[in-house]
Amino acid sequence: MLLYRDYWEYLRDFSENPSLDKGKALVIAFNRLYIDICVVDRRDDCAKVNVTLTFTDGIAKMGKEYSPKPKIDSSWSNKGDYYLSVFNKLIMSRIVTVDLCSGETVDESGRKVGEWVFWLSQNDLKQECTLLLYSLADTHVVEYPSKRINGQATLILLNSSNTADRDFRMSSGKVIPANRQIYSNKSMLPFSSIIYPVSEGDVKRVIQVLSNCSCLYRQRIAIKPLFKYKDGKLIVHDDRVFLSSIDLSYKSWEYVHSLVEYNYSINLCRECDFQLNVTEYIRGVLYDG
Amino acid sequence: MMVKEYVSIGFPDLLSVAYDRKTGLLLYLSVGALLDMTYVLPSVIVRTFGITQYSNTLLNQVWIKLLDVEF
Repeated sequence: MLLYRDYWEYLRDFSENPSLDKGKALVIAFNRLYIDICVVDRRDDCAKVNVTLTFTDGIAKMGKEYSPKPKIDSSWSNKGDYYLSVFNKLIMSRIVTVDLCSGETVDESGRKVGEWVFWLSQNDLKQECTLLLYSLADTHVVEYPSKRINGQATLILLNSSNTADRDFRMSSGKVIPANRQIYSNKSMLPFSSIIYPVSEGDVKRVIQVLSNCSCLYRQRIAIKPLFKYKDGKLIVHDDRVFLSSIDLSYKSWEYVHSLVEYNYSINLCRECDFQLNVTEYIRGVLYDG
Repeated sequence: MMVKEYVSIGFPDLLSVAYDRKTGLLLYLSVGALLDMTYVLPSVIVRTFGITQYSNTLLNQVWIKLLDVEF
């Protein structure tokens, strides 16, 4: 009972979201998700891949214009503006084409859907560090500082010298030792920070605070960031080390800049254009983004 | 090839990933915060399937395993 009560609460809250295109929306709450990937064809530097998602033990709310409908082991209930289903298994499959050099992925309609992060390319593997574009939002168009930028992204920094702390057993039974894994437990920390307002009299003190702030510089290459002060804003540049050492020329996207503010007074990271409160259950820490 | 320009929004401590350094295959990804995983799961999945949002608010951690990857 608790299981479905929680699901219902979640879906009810989401259905009240005014930004949702309810006709084409699909919202799923579930217990487990399996992603099944199978290469069906390969030509030159492109692979055609069948991706299947299998959700188990959940509930789905689907707009009436959503197509194609997922396969479920139960039925859809007509709720007026949308369909609703409680399922044991919900299965969806799509074909995408992956550029094996750049990682750019295109769906069947020709729409670019992001970087294929399920395999590292040879270009990724031969570097000591690389960036992977895991999530992106094209709708956030940014004017920064004089150029128009397509969107914002969540980037993963992958350092090949980082190994996992335990072996991994694949579904086939094959074990990948920890030292053969390239492991990352941090998404991209912001490369640059803008802090304001900072009076001229406070600049020196703020720089001292930031220089001692482990939150800002953990897991970084030990090099002092650049500080620039102008018009009440203190800008911290510390991306030059990474950008000089990572070749991103083969990617289908270009890293431009972080657009992040740090509120140093409460030592909390706040990302612009991001309103979601995210609770990290494992450590009990609330990130107020 | 058209290059798109992006800025990073960053997201510390939210996502763990591991790749096989020999084959380059993604072995697993783990999401620690679960209110809206569309922000952290690969955009290839979210966009390809037109999933507006999917969530699991019940488990402490979700492991997404790739099954039977053939290449």
